[in-house]
Amino acid sequence: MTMQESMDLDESLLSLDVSEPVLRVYWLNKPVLSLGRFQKPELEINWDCVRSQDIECARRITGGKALLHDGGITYTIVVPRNLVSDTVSESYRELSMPVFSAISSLEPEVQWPGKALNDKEALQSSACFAQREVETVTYRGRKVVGSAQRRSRFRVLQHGEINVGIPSVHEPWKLFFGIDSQEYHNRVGYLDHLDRDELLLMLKKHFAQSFGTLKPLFRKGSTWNQ
Amino acid sequence: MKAEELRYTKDHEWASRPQNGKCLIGISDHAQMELGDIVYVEEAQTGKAVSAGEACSTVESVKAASDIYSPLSGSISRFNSELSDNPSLVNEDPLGAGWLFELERVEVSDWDSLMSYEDYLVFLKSL
Repeated sequence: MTMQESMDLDESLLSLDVSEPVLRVYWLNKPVLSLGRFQKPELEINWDCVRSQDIECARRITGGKALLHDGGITYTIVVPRNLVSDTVSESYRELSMPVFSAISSLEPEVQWPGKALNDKEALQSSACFAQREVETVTYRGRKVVGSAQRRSRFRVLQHGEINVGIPSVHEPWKLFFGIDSQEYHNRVGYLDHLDRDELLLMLKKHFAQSFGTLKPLFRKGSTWNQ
Repeated sequence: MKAEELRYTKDHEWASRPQNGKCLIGISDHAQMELGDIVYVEEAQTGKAVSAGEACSTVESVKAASDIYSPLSGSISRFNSELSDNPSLVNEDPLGAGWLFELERVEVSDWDSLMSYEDYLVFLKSL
């Protein structure tokens, strides 16, 4: 399955009218750049750099900025609207809590809402992980989780990326216009010391604690990895 | 527009009273508060025929993108182009300058069947 097919699967989950929450957790064999639903990539993405490193691209059903999936864990949680608060901010917090709890059970130093190491005003960047929002999860001042929400009449979907793997893209800041090496290093963090399998189990545990019965799907790149 | 002059749906959209078959569509004050700061409004497809309850646009607020459903059947005749440069109008004036799109070929009887403002307030209290 390609990342675009994975995004299409997320969209189909969102349109279902069933009462059972669904959790998808997977990781990818090769780096993928996912673009926000309304993002104008011709203005924000350096396509020469993307092509030269053979990076796959996909369009998300959520808004926000471009997100580089590079060795991390990708998750999707879809719940009926009545299981979360009505407001975006509250429901975003409720759906982010299990992610934070899972990570902090393995790495107590993570913070949420995080405090930036570099305390400059929020940077408006084309790169999701270089953005600094109120609800950012940080590790030693750097953002380690990028996520966004989509709401339909019946369901709320939130998906995101946890930077746990060792990145493979060479000079990733060059994929995005408007950010240099130093700014990127100051803002983008990695939890590359965490065990991915342990984190998968913690995600399953904490989402189940928050939302009850779940059918987690574990997936690796283009082949299922149960 | 005054809140009392509009009709509402359970999805928190409003519709103005049709005149010559045309009415404006927007989201309620309650909806804009739920969404938070709106940063982008997807342009509704002009000329497209839509059924009541059909998703026809999306608004993006900080951290979330939400579907917008047409409260009435009709044809989308106009998008509020002011929102392209200033989507925050939806937050600032959801019942006025922040309208989303215009529908034509709308039946007044359909509009009559939507919730009045009083009914909508009762509905909000039930949530």
